[in-house]
Amino acid sequence: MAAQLVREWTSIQQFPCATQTKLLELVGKLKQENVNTLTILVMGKGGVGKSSTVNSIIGERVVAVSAFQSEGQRPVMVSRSRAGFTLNIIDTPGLIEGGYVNDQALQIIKRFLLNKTIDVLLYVDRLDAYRVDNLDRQVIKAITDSFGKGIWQRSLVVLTHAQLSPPDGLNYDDFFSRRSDALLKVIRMGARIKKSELKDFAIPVVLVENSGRCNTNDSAEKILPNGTSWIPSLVETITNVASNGSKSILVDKKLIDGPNPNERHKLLIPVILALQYLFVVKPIQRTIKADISREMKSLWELRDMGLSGNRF
Amino acid sequence: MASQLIREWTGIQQFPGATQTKLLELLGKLKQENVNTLTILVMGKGGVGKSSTVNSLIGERVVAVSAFQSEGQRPVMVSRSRAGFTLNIIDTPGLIEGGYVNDQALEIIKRFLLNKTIDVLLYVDRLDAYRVDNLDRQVIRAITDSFGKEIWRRGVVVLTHAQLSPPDGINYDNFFSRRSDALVKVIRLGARIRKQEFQDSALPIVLVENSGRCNTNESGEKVLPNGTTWISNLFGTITNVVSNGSKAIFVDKKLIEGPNPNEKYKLFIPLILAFQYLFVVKRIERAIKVDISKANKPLWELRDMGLLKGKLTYSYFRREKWEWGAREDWRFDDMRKQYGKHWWWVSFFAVYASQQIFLMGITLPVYAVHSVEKPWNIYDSVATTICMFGIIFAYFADTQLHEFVSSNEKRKELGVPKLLTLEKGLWRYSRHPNYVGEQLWWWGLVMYGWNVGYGWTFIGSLVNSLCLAYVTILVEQRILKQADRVEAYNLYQKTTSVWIPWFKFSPRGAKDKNS
Repeated sequence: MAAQLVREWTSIQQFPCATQTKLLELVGKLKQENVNTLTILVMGKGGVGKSSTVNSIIGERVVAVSAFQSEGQRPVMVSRSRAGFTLNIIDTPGLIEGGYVNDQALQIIKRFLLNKTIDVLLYVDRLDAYRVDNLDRQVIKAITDSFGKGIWQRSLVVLTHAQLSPPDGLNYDDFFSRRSDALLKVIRMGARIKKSELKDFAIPVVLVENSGRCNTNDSAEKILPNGTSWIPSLVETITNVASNGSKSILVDKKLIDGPNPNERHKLLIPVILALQYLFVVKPIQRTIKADISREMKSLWELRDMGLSGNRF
Repeated sequence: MASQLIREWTGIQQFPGATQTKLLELLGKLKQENVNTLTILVMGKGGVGKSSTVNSLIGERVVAVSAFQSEGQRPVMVSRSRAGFTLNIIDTPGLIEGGYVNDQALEIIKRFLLNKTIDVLLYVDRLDAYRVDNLDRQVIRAITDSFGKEIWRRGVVVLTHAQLSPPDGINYDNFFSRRSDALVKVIRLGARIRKQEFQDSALPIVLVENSGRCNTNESGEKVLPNGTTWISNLFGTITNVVSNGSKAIFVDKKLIEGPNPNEKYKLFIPLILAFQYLFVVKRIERAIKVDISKANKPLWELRDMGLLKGKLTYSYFRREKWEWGAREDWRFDDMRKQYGKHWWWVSFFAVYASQQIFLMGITLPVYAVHSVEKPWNIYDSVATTICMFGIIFAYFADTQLHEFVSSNEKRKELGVPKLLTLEKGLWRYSRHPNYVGEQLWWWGLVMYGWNVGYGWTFIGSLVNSLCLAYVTILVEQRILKQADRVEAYNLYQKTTSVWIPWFKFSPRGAKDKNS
């Protein structure tokens, strides 16, 4: 059985007890709803902390993290199982390469995901970035074009480097709310989510701090500056999204190849032909016939020339 | 005096005593070297901390800083003076806009800097950014293209957010050195600085922490995690760069507008002309000559027909060369016989080289026009009119000649005596209207050249006219050698102007047979 190939989620024991308890609680809830497997896709620009987040969720260093080098060119899927529940997390290469969306990486990701079902999308970015610009919109557009708008109903935004000191003049919560507003706005624009659909697409935003110097509380859980223990918070949000009633995204060949360009607007062909016939061919025929009739030719000549028929 | 308009650098008193002392020391050093003013240009991507750095240097909030909004679209210059020393700091908008270098912002910055001198460039970026990519290179390339490679001799790299905790597994100094290596490498690539030049004058890198929560030492000075007091350190580095012997960048109009595209590759023009002549024109000429020699037509017919079988607009001059070649065919034969086996190289000088010089001569005005940027004016219109008129005139003249020749052929077929001279149409007013038209064209070109100040290009057309004069004489002599035409042609000569179209005049010295 496939489950035998999936490793045991032993690293869950790395977490402090309080975190472990909450995690197992959440897994239990999912199993009650008959969800035995969860596939999480992690995407975003380069250097924002995707691999670090994956390592934090799993609890061990499963994906290589390097501060200065770009990630590997290929997506990596990490699978762990525990008490009959399987967790798959897919870490992807950054989508922005030097100012452009890296289409090649996108293709590799899509092919990697063929016939897999995406339950949750984690869109990762840094909390301590000060500008949201066209590049972000392009990344989001690329994700939307690849997987369809529906993926945003199954997504959450993850902001890394959460243990930051905000810039002068802003307190932490203010900074956080303005940053997430800006990012959500660009997601709405990039994914073309209409204002009326906003309710269905209320994307939750979660803060994480993946570094070793993250502050801890008395239970030794990693906490954010506002006191929340963020690992269970993240997993809880993930489970909420997984149970929010929307459909998971099955990545089939049709989704990957995109709509067949040859199929587009095929229905217009007969319409165009009809229009051409009615409005172009017929008038020309008429004028030609008029010209011929004006010409004084004897009937036998016309007959021999074959103009007694209608074929053109 | 301008210095009265510049505000006093009161912000310096915001700094703790120790910092103030060091700053005034540095100012003193500069003044000793006779440097009384310092202009610092601050550039970089958006959101990296340029405006914050300016505020830190001045010691007060002179430039608006907003975490989430883009900076203003215009550069801002902040000037402060102290003890006779003036400090100008120019804050600029971020150069990257959504994945591209914002060319419009760059233009605005360049125009802002017109006639200013840049003493130091601060290239600002964040210490806590983990990737250096093509965007950074594009920014650096844009800066290099705008101000020249030399600006990097006066450059300082400023890394903000210096009070960071490095990522797991790397200590602060390690992180700093890797980050600066990556950035310096991309600067070298983007500015195309060769390794050799780089080692001679390495780019200094300074860490800054502009936020209010920057740690301080006992003297109250802002310190980095490694203990350096960074404000005085930054000023110290700036003064070192100013005194490092390189030249400040003066932003003049030439720098801003960039090299004149018309000047590029001008030297290629004669080369290309030579190439074309040797490898293209010569071949075609040779082929045509071969064709002519294969055709069994009497020479006068070839001459009169002028071998006009091409489009008028295309290589009007080439047509002339065909005529020239055909007309000279008998001369080629003569010369060939004369020089015998040396003809193959003698012809180069006697015929081809001279024709090449000819070609270059009459196209001199074209060369002139392409060397000078001058807007179209009335003389250009006059020149155009002359040229057009010349072409049309020659076209009609040639057409009439062709008709004359063809009608004579028909007459021969029908057994009717041919017409001896062509006196219809334009040929009524001039004996060689085709040459007239051609000369009008070339002199029209000279007018273009004269209009842009290259009047001496008339020399080409003058030589052309002289050649045509010589040819005219040759042609007329040959006609006069034909017994059946000599009398009619003599009359034609006496009543018609040779070149300039004029009305018929009464034959001079002609016997009036009828009276």
